[in-house]
Amino acid sequence: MITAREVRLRFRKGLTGWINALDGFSVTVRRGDIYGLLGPNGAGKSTAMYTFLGLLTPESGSVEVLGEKLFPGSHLFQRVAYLPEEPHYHLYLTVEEAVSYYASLYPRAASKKQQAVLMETFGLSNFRRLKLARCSKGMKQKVGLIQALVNEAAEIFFLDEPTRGLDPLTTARFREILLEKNRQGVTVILNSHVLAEVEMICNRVAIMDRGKVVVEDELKHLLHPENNYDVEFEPAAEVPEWISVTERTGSSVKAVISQENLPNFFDFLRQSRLRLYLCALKKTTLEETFKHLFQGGSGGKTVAD
Amino acid sequence: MGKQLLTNLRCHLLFFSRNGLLLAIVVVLAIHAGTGLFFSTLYESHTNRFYTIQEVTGMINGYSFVLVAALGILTIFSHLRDRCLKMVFTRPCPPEVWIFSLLLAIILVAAGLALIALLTGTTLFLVWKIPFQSGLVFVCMNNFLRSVTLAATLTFMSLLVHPVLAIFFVAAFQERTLFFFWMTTEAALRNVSTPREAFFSALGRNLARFFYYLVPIQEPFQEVWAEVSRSWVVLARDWLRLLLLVGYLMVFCSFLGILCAELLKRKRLV
Repeated sequence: MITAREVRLRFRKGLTGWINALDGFSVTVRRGDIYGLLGPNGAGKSTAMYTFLGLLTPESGSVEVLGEKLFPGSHLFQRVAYLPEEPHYHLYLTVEEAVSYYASLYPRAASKKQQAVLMETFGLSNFRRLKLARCSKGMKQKVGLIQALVNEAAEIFFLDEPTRGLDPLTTARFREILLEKNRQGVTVILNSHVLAEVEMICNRVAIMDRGKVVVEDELKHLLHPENNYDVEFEPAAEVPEWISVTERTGSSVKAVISQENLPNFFDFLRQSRLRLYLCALKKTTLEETFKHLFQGGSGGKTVAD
Repeated sequence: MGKQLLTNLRCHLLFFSRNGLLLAIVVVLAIHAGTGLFFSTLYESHTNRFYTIQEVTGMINGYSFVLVAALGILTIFSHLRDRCLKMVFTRPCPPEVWIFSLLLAIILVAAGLALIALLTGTTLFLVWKIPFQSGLVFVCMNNFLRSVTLAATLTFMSLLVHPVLAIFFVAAFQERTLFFFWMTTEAALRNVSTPREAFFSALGRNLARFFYYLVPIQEPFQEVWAEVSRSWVVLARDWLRLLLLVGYLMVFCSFLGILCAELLKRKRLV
């Protein structure tokens, strides 16, 4: 559905220098995916998205969305919804005018009534007549979400940092809407630094560094379960050495134990008459994978090194 | 396409109505024209009053000319600076629709301002009981066409270079100036004595001729209509020329609109 093959794109730096924004960037997004594009700042995530949208033209390589190359104003945009990273909107318009304007550029968009419902959902009803220039960053982000959601014919959502500046409730609501859209067959490709959010909604991810993809895989393969358990129990005076304590507070002890020691751990609790608060199979988080890729054992070097 | 054109047209008109700089120009125009009108009521003779009508409408037309010329350049500058055009072009709305709706919005504002000048002049003719001169309609229409031509040129230029440079180029590279420069170098070429002088004169002449042919004609009948502007007496052939000018404007705006759309497609909008 969305493919990029060996895409290279450079930006001029000064009079003579160049920066490789995309350096052999290749990904494949399948229909129905919620695809996360991750990476440190300057990895090229937004540039990749601009290239998908035809806002930047690569020097070499190929980019295809829905089997074609997008360009400004392309008819294919009726099947695409886009949320930019920065709130670059028509600041002289009011919230209501902006939503209506962006919606009316689509052939099949939400009706005025549906737009009002979306504004209500995202808590913008009372600010309908407020100019975007006077809106807070969070409010502008909400306008961004609404203008993406008004395209009723959208088959692909390109979301660049969609929850940036949003409160937790709005973030959760948006997540629900996005998952619902995905259940209806919408493909989502999103950039995010919020790895917990990516873990919650994405099924595939690509991790980028310096303009290229260093890892592209199913999320479940990256979040593989380990043979260890996270445990939390009542504080004890003495803890056996096979229990690796990670945190000790006045109310609990947090620790990691291996699968082989699980029976011994329950014996220890029974004998010491301690209450167990938590015992869960430990899984590698995306954050740990990310840290491992960019910091782990490389002496501060990035994966591209 | 029609719906998108109207949507963008409405958006451009909202931009014009909410732009601080444009509003300031309008306020200055209103104050200046109002003051002029107030003092002109003190005149007694019909002759003086006729000149006053010419002066007042000339003033309104002059301000309209500046205001309309600024519309395109301000819109392009503001939208490129705010980087909000990507919100338009990541929808099935081609740059052609956006730019033609902008030109249409400029034409509407220019027509509105021409109407204001016309109504002001007509009102003064009626109030002071002076026989109406058709030259008023002619002058207002001519100013409307001139201002739209300039606005279209500046819109195009502001997509090529920085707006300040665009204004500089349009002000410096005027057809009359270039024609004068061409004729001067042509004359100089006939009186050269050394090969070096001949080389530089020929270079100057060729450059002047190149730019003369390159720059768009803003006022094709300026020389012919000097008398009409002074006396407000319009002959049938002048109306015919005005009609030709309308045709020229339509072709000119369409051509520049297409060029602007091509430039917008190549512009970095992120």
